[in-house]
Amino acid sequence: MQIPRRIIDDFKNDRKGILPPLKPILRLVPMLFYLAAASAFVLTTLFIVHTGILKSNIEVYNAGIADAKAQIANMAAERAKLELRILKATDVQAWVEGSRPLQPLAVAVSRSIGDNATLGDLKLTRDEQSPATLTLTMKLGSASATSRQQLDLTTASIAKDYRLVQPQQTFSQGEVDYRVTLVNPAQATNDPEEEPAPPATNTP
Amino acid sequence: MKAADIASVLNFSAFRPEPDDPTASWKSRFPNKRTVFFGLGKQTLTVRMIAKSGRPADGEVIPDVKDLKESLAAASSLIRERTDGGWCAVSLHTRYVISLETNLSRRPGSEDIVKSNPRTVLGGRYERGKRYALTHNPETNSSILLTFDEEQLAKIQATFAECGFNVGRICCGTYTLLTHALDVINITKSGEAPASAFFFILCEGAVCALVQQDDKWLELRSRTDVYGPADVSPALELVAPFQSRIPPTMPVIIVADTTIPGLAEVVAQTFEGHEVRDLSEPDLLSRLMIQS
Repeated sequence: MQIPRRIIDDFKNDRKGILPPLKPILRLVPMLFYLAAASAFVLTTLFIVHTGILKSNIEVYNAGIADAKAQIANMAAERAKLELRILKATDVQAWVEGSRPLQPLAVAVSRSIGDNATLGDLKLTRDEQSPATLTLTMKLGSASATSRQQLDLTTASIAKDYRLVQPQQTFSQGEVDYRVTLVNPAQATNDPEEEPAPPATNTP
Repeated sequence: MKAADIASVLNFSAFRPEPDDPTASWKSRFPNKRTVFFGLGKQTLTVRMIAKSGRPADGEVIPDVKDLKESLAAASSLIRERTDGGWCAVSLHTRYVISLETNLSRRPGSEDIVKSNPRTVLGGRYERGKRYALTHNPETNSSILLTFDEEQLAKIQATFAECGFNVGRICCGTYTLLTHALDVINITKSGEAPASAFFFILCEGAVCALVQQDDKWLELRSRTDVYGPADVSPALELVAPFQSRIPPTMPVIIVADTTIPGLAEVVAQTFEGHEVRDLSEPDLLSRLMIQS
């Protein structure tokens, strides 16, 4: 015979409300809870770590942006300098181009200066209102006996190409301050409004 | 739903039987927890600590227990410290009766019903103020009936509670060992090789003897407070008369709560010519109480 095995008989006063254990399948509930808690912890940790990384990246990017802005500013300043130099060079070029027609005049004046005379100052001014005329101002130095001859030589050399208008000359202790308006005949014919200059006056 | 219920689900304790659930084994009730087993005799109190691993640990015997409450209170603090929650099981070795009855109700579940409504199972044998446990012989109309005094049980439970212990189980060690021996010996199916044996149960001073011949329970004797830890000869004297009444071919099955050195030899001398099988093991009662 076989006697069915049973739990040991218990004689204590049983407490009311003793509940049977929950079904094993319900162990999934706390397991899922702990899994969710662990996942939340891991995800939060990853979020915090990634946030820190992104913040540091943002700082790096901001630093890069600041560097780029500084480079842009430096380049802009250099460009401004270059543009200024270009402007100056353009002015020089324009001056060179503009002074080319005056080179024969300057050569004529310099070649007219004799051995005993000096050309202290020479200034050629073009008026914006009448570009066909030039104002020549020069200071000749020589012995008082030869200063008038030198001035004549010089004005003669100038007069080959220009018409002298309103010459003004001042003699003082061997130096001659001479000022005259030069009119290029070729250009003057193109400008019908240009009137002939009055005769030069000498100022002692 | 209370917070404690949610906590019990989250710490998985809700998936284990409650500590005082009598339908669950001790092992399943207290996994990885330290508990203590008490053996309560007429004048002795044995203490056996149960480790977290579920194995019996060290123990001690408190002799000359005149007043249970006084003796227990003196040792309770030290014992409670070595348990988790003060949970204990009490094995009673005194003030019970094991008897052989016939023609008890065999309705399905009668062995469980006898605890809640004993009158329906026991009929005229029922006594008010008693608690019962029952083991039917599946081959005959005989049954082994264990009877406890309900007032005495309540008093013992209250005494342990007053000393700070949570009583998870109150059982009878002798009855437990007897049912264990019946389980071990009666292993054949119904109608196949009927078993005969003389069961000799010793449990901390209590003795029980059962004669089973061809699966039939013929005679049962049970006495408490028969012998002491040092001398089992009074128990032998009690069962010696069976030697002339049982057939010579009937084996003698010894089951003690723990191994008793030389017991098998003296039983063999008493029951000369009979095969003697000693099913005793170290801490057998504690192991049985843990496993079931």
